[in-house]
Order: sequence, then C-alpha cells, then structure tokens
Amino acid sequence: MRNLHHVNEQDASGGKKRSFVFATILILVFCLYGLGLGWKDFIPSENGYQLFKKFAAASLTPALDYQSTGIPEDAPPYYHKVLKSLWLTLQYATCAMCIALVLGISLGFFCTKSWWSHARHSSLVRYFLIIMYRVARTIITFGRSIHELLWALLFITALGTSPFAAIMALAIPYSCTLAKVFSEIIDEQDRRTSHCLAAHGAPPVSSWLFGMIPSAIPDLISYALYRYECAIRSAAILGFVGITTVGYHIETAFADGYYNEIWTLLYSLLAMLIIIEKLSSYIRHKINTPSEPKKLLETSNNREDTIKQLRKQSSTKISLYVIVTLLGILAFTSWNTGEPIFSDLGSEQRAANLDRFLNQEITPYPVRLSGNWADAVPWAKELLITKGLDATLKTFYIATAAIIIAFLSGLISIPYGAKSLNSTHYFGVTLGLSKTRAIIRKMISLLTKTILLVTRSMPEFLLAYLLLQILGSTAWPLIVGLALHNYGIIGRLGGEILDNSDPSNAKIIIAHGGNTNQLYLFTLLPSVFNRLILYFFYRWETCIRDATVMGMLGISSLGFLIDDASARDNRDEMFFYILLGACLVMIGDIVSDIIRSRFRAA
Amino acid sequence: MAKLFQLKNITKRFGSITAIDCVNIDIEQGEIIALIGSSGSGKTTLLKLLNAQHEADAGEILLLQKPISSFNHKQLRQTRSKIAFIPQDLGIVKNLKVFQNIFLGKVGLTSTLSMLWKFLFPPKSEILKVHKLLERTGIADKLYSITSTLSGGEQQRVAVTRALYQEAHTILADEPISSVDPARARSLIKLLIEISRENNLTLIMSIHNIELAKEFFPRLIGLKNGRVQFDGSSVNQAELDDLYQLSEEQLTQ
Repeated sequence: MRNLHHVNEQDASGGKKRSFVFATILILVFCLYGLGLGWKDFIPSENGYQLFKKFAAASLTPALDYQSTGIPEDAPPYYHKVLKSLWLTLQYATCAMCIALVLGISLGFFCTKSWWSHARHSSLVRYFLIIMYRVARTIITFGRSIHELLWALLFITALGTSPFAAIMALAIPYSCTLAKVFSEIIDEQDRRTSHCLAAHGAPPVSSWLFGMIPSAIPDLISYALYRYECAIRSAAILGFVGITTVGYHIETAFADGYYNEIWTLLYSLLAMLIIIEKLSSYIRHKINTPSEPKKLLETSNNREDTIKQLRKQSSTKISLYVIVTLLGILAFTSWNTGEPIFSDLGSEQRAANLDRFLNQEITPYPVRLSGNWADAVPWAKELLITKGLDATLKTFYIATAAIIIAFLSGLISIPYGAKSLNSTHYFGVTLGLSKTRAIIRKMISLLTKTILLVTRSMPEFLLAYLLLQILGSTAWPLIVGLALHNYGIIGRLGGEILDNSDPSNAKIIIAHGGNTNQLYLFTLLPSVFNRLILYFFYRWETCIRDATVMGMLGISSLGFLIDDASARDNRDEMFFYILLGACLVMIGDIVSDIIRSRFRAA
Repeated sequence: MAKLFQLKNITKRFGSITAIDCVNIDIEQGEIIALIGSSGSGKTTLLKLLNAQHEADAGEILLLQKPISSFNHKQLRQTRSKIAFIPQDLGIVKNLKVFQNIFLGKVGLTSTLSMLWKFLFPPKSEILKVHKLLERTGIADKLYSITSTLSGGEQQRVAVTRALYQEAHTILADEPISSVDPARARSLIKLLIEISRENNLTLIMSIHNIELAKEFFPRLIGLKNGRVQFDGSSVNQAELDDLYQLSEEQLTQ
C-alpha cells in the first residue's frame, strides 16, 4: 500500500514536469503566432545569405589594420582605436559598478527586514522603519524596470552625450538590481545564529551584522562579480545610443561594410568578458574553500610567539589580495583617466538642457499647449490604443518566446555542460565507456561548453543586431539573440546544479546498468527540475526587461516606438513609451515573484 | 545566600499550547543543574525564559531579586550579556575565524562599530586572552582557523570558549550533546562542569541522556508537559518511567 502510494506520488510530480514542458511549447507557438512569425521567416533572403557568407568568411581574418583606405597618415594605429574602445567600455562599467555598489548596499540595507529588532521597539521607530522599507522597495522596483539603454537615452536627451550620462545610465539600474538581490540573499540566510547573538544581549544591528552577514558574504561577492560582467556587456551596447564604446564601433564598421574590423572588436570584447568571468570564478572558488591550515612548524613556550606562528600559517590567500589590489587600481584609474567625469556638469548649457527637458519636453504635448493636465488623458489613450498596447504585447511575446526556446534547448545541453557527467567516472563509479566513446563524449562536452561560454558572454543586443543583418527585419533575430544569451546562462547554471546535486540516487542507476543519458533523464533532471523552473522565471523577468529595448534595432515593439519617438524629437511620446515598458517589466517582476515563491514552497 | 534566579508560578503559552505550566524553581549562584524530560516537555522554553528570550505569560522571574519583566531594553541587554547561551546548533558563525567567534561573546557589551573594529583589527591583549582560554578548552592551535574547518567536537569547544570569554555568571546549554557520539558527549559535559566549578558559574543544561545526567549533575529537574515532575539530587526509576511515559496521543504526534 505504501509503495503504491509512493508510485502515485512520483507519477503525479512526473506529470507536472511533463505538463510544464508541454505548456511551454504551446505558449511558444502562441507567441510566435501572435508575432505573425512562421518557420519560413527564419530562412535568410538571398541578400542575407550573401552577407552571411562574407561576414562568416571575415571571422577567420580579423582586421589588424584599418580596412578603409581613406585614413589620414597621422591617424593613430588601428590597435590603438580598438584598445581605446575596450578601455572605455571597461572604464564606464567599472565606474558604474563603484557607484552601484555603494548605492546598492545602502538601498539593500533598507530593503530587508532582517536587521529589525524583534523586541520592544517603540511604535514610532517601527513606523519609521516601515516607511523606509516601502520607499526603498519602490525606488529599486522603478529603477530596475527601465533598461540601462533607456536610462542612457534619457540622460543623453536631458544632458547631452557625456561620460556622466553613460555611467549614470548603468549605475542607476545596477544599484537597484544589486539592492534587490543583496537583500534577497540576506533574507535567505539562516537566522539562528543571529538569534543566538541577540540572546547574548547584542544590539539588533550587531546580531544582524555578525550573525547573518558573514555567511552571506561569499554569495554577495559572487553576485557582485557577476553584475560586473553584466556591466561590461551593458557598457558595450551603450554604443548603440551614441556612446563610443565597443558597440558604437561595431555598428559603424557594419554600416561601412568592414566585416574584418567587426570580428576584431567581437573577439577582443569576448576575450575581455571571458577573462573577467574566469577571474571571478577563481575568486569564488578561493572564497568558498577555506585553506587547510599547515602543520605547526615549531612550538614555542612563549605565548606571543606561538600566536604569531599560528597567524602566519593561516594567512595563505595572497592571490586574493593581489586580485583585490588589482581591482582597486582598476577602479582608481577608471575614475581618474580620460575625460573628467563630472567636469562640465555644472555648465550653463547643461543646466538649460536639463531644465528644458524636465519642464517642457517630457510634458505631454496637449498639456504644454493648454497647461491643463486633464488633457494628457486622451493623449495617452490615443498613444496606447494606436500603437502602445500592440507593441507591449509584441514585446511580451518576444521575451516569452525567447526564454522558452532558451530553456528547452538548455535542457538538452545541460548534461553535456556538467563536469560530473562527462568523464569516465561518475562520482567515483566507473561508467565503463570504451575509449573511443569516452573521447567522443569529451569532444561533445568541450564543444557544448565553448558554445555556452561564447553565447552567455555576448551581449544579447549585439547578437540580435548581427542576426538582424542576416535574417532580415522580422522578430526572429530579436528572439534568437535573446534566446542564445539565455541559453548560455541556463546551460551553464544547469550544469553547475547537476554537479552539486546529491549523486547517491544516480549511482544506483549506474549500478543497475544505466548510461549517462538515462542518469540525467530519470534521476538528475527530475530532482533538480524545480530549481530549473525557478531559474526559468527569474530569467523570464530579465528577458522582458531586455525585450523592451530590442525593438530599437528597428522591429515593431516598444523599443521601436521609443527609438522612433526619440528620432522625431517627440520626447513626451518617448517618455510615455519608456514608462509603458517600465509597467510591463514591473508586472513581469510581480508575476514571476509570485510564481517563484509558489515553486519554492512546493 | 541570595538566590540567582527565582521562578515564581511561571506560565508560558504558545497559542493554545501551554509550554510551561506554573513552574516554581529557585537557583543559586554556582549550581550545576540538568533539565531532563522528553521532547516537547518545555526544557528549551524554560531556558529561553531564563535569559528573557521569551516573556512569561504569568508569574514572575526574579534575577538577583529584580523582576526581569521590569527591565527596559538596555537593562535587558545587559542582563543577557552576563548569561551565556549555547543553543543546540551552537550558534557560531561557520565562516568566521575561531577568535572572531569568541569575540562575539562580548557582543552585548560592545557597540556595533567598536565590535567591527575589534573584528578587523584584533587588539593583541584580547588575542592573548582568547588564546589562554582556548588552551583551557584544548583547541589553542585553532585560534586563527576558519571555524567551518573544525570538527564537530572542536566547534562545541569554540562555543564553550565563547561562553568563558563572555565572563558570564551563568551558562545555559540547550542539548549541546545531542548531535555527537557518546565519547564526545561525555568529554563536553565534563569540560562544561569543570569550567563552571573553576569559575563558580551557574550551569543549567537540558539533556536527553539520563545516564550522563545522573552521573555528572548534582541537581536534576524533571519536566513533563511543562510542569516540574521532580527536583532534587537523585531520582528513582519509577519517577523516570513516569517522566518518559507518553500518552498514545503524544506518541503519534
């Protein structure tokens, strides 16, 4: 009876997973239908095909010098230009991260209730704390809901192009994201130690700081490093709104047809991102594995000497100090080279620009004429009905289709990206592969890992831009670009989850003669599926956010309307669509939060 | 001699459950006491009432003749900072160094900022003190180790050292031996009792293992359904059988 019950339970949960996968496929079809896309739109036109051939051929010979013949004699060498654009990308990302860390930590502090005292607060203090909490939450929700490219667009229109605009455009949404995730990480920590310190009479902030933060620090650092990587990607694509980072040079090189130059830029951007990723995984590893203390060399009768000895053996992480120092130097140089960042902010020209932007340009057109805010309502209604709703829906379809494609293809790649499934032994149990099969498996795994690394390192916007040139103006390039980047992330993360999951059940499958595919499908995948679904919704949220700007490449969705209004100098309309996008992102966030908390509870 | 703790008709409820039901206990400074009883008999709640982690619903707890319930926030913290509490999971921060965990013993007497300063730039005199205490508990060579690299038994000793460093008058220990093997359990109890005697500390420990309780503790308090079943220096088998006899309903809970 008990066994039967067990089987039924398994069946039910298996059925849930199955229906989740089927549901995603159905929704995918629905989204594609909504976008009016068919599979045949996926085939590039003759022109696109020719372009693709040329572009792909150029990949083997990245440019080492200017491709243009009309370069003046005294122009700086080509590598100079490449390095400069890379440095600018890194510089903006670094400065933005510095600001985002300070703001993110301070905002994050108010976004968690974990440091509030449980006992005997006066109601006035409690009231004040709740207000601070609500205000901080509202700020981070709003700041995050506008994509960095749109912040850049706003800053550039309000102040003019400047390093400050670029840095603030990154810093604002990044501080909000850091604040949100930091507070979530802290909320997930075990509170027992903190309670124990409170039982020792610690003040509330002390028991929070010493009881909860230390165990959160590894996660906080690895998330900050991940965001730094993202900041470099974001800085690169700021080029598409006119800031001279890598993206700018890629766009101009494409317009001029200098494909070899594009590859030079792509390769160097990729190299920079991969170096940063490897560096951060090295730091993560160092932090997470405490070094085994060495044996005591000599014992001494003198207490002070003994303590000195003990201290010496324990401090072995010199490499960490080196990296931290390097990052410090990088931050210092970023703030102190090139165009001064805050230089002409105070200039009258900029002040006038800002004043005009805030007080005139973004005020809805009819309100500017009549001075009556009631006139804004029919104006907004008109925009919403004629284009807004349709574009919002399309943006939603693009994001959803992309994440589903990324998830489904990720499921297939995960076993090949996991370390534990691609050697001759699974956690010490021999798989009995023949030599050739072992080698083939290794090769497939290496290929998968490389593809995952490249796709997750490339900014989704850049991928979409390149695909657009080849596939032509449909929504496909946007979907595929977004899907590729997320596929890279999900594939890698899934692999990590598999490597860290409990191998005991899986070992039984091998003992019963199963192969690695069965191992993955019948034990590992079912046991980690819930976590993958959590991740699916988390990335879906991000996809919606990214999809709001994708249209800026010229495909009808919110981004297109924003870009179009900006080109026509209709700032009020532009601002309206940006806010519409922000609403979509906020709704997505809320829905995803609700669904995720359901799945977490399950 | 003045009583350290006096519990007068203490009752504590959680919703519809009465965890502690009209308990009267007197405790003197330097007493070594074992709390015994089955799971859910109220041992943990009683310990938490003693350093005011819970407030009693009825009755009064006097600490050195003063009622705990009358303390303001500051007095409460001062009171707690003189009582060491060792929870079942030890309440130590695993990824801090051992000396930092021990510094946390004084967290109640130190402001957040000066604690942070002490963490990052530990003063030599304090390190010397900690090293001396660690020598007493037998893990002096772990002074600078990350606590998570220590074995379970060594981590318990970190918690004991923290209590010593705290210079408390009382140690409250909530089943600290439930997760270790018998040999380690015995040596930890011995250590705690020795240290308490050396420093004239009051030790109140909840414990599941009756044999160990009878062997080491001069005073045993038996709790059942939140009531004191017996309180004295010895206990006979009939009383013990009664203490652990559960109703059918309790067994299936």
